[in-house]
Amino acid sequence: MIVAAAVCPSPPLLIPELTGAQQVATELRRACHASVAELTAAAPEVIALVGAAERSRTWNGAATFDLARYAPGMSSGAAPGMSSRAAPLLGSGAAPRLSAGAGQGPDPGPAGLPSALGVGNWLLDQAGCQVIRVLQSVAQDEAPARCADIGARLAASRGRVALLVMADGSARRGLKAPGYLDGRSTGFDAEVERAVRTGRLEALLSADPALARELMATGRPAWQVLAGALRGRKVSSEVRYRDDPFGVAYLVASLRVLREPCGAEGEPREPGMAEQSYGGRSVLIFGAAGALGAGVAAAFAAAGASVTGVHKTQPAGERRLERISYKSADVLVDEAVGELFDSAPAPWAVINTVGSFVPRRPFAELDPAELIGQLEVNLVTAALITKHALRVMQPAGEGRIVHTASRAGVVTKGAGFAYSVSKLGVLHLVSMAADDVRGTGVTVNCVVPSIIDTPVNRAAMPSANHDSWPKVPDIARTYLFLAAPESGLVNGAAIPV
Amino acid sequence: MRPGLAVRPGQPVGAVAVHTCRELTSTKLAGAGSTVDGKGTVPGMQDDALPSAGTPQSAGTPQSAGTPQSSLRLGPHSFGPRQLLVMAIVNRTPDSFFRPGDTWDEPAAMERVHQVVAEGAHIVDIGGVPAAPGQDVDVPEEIGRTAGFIAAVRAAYPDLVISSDTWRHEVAREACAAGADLINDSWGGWDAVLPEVAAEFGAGLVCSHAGGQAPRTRPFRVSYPDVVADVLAHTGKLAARAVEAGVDPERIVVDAAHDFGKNTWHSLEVTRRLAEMSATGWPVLVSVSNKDFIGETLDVPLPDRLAGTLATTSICAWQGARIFRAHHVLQTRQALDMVSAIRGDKPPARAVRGLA
Repeated sequence: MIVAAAVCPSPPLLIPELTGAQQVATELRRACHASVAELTAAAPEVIALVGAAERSRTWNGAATFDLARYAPGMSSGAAPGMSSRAAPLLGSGAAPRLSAGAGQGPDPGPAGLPSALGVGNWLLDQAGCQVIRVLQSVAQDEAPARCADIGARLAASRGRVALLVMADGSARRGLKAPGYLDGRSTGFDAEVERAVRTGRLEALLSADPALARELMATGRPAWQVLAGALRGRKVSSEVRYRDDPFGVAYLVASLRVLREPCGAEGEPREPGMAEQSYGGRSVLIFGAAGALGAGVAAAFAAAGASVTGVHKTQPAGERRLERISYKSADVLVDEAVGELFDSAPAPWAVINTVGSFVPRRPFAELDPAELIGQLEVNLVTAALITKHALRVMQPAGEGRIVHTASRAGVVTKGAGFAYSVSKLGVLHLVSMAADDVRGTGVTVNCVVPSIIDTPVNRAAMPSANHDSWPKVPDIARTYLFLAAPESGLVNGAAIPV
Repeated sequence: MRPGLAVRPGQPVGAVAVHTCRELTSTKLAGAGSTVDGKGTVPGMQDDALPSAGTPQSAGTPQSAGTPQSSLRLGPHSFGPRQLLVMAIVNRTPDSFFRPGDTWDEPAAMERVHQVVAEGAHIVDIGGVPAAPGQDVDVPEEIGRTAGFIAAVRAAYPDLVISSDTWRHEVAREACAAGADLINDSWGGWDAVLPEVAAEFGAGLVCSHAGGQAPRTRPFRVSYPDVVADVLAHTGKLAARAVEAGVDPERIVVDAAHDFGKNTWHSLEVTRRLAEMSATGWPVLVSVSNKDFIGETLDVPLPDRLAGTLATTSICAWQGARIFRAHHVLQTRQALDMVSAIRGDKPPARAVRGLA
């Protein structure tokens, strides 16, 4: 039975000795070590290591990975880090050459471990892992169904099995990429990432082998083994890294497998729009004591999110909701916002409903204090929340930020200048922050309400037709959509409601 | 092997120098194997004529085993094993990696030819397609970029060795018809018809190793049990095929093709063990100028790779390489002259210090 799984890429450059004196890809390596550490922490009795290679087979545990195939001459003093740490990986007959130009290369001997398994073995060695390993290579051209069968067979093993899947996305993600640029790579890798991120692994089985080959996405068979191994199991995942610093898509993730198989048919339930798959994700809601904020908080709680409400003062009465924990913070103070984000793990999503409205005032009567006040409460708050949210989300490689702008921000008639320009600032903030985070797994969007049916607004406009005003629960659905894991492609959007 | 074919090492082979070369071609020089002792027919100058049974050894050169190097024929010339030749790169491309577009215009390219000849290049290597992936250049386009220009260079320099940098036999055919003497195929014999074209025109052929990679592709996690063994096996096979196809054996050159199908470690290993390649007896061409393995080794961008290029060039020359494909002709020429002088193949240009 599979108790946990991890996904790591397998570039040879993960092994520091191969990259020369400078450290490269340290962030990637750290993420891989973290995912392997979590894997071994699941107390497995067996670790199944899976990677694509020339053909499908299992490998003897004594098989070694010959670094000299990648870095001949490496040990001739050029790599100070080359020590006993990596030495066990080297084939016994193929130790790195110590001297130059002697005329004969190392004996090629029988081929050692393929690189995906070799790099995976190295990661396990680095973690000090003593657990029995099963080394399984999958042929680069193995059909998806066959890959899934291999996965199912691994899953059927007795005892607690942890799965380490070594798989890489497209190597054609830029002009400098190993395979040059292929525009289809972005979509292909995004599909894989979405499947892993949402735990809906069956989507991996539809990855087309021919397309994967064209895109030099060598991980395709290994991902499909993963899908086969966890078919019918409920999985939550944490993406630890996703980037393509060398034009190859690297994805690092930890997959937590819930104990019981779910659903009578053994298939995970497809979440609908109305109830997004928030299962346990932490959502931080600023302005949670306000009319809009409280409604949004209730909607997220109902969607299964773990909600923390933030407000200047703790809410009371009917605005204080069950199942929601509250924190108070002054969101106009940089340090206070920073401390708030540092006091807990990075949230999945941050929803900002902080704001206030002042009515129209002729320019002849402009009050600078009011203008500054509006800019502060509507814009500076949003900026500080964005700043600190990104600070913790970007290292996590995932997250959602949703602000609240206003239709008044884009009209120059009707609303007052102070309110309008402050909300215009929010729209601008969202556009610029979205540009900043593009491709990081984090998105920044905003909801753009016209008017909302709240007690405050009813009191301000007593003669209006209140029934025609948008209601908070309806508006909240847009926040749910923008913050959903499935909405990773939506970034920089301003959605009118 | 034909003994006694020599030109004066380091003599620029331009429009004028070529006469010297031709005169010397038919002259058997005495004093073979002598050190610089003033006994040669040219006082103070060691010739590099070889006795047919001998091995071209000088003290300190690590080229100690294998088949001795014989003379190399390119166009009307014959070059002795100790002579180090500079092959100047002339790109008819808008997008090559080093100084992109510099010689895209024909007048600029011709100006470059004048300059490299004056700086001492023996060979000009004219190419129309960058090695890196990028905009597709089809056969007619490549021919359009190179063949006419080769004809123009041939007209301006009747005796200059002209090399056509191409992997396609259709292009090679037009290039040879326009006057090219050598087909420089960096992509490891991807086009199997290439040797037939070389044979048909009596041209030379460079047999290189690109790890089996298709033209214009980058290495991706390549590994070799022994990269040098792979290089020797592949280039040897290509050379044998070329001979079989009728290419003059004295016009066949081998090239490990640094960076082609190789990571930086592989290129360094190939450099370190280049003597194994020289020991095959085939004349060795090295193309290392400003390449990425130098950039990675030194962590320097393109404009700063000259020192690394010259160091690599010298190491290759010391181990027996004979043709050096270069962007910086003057500097490469000087580095090679230095190697020749250290080996004792060529006297200093002027030595009066301590002798007055």
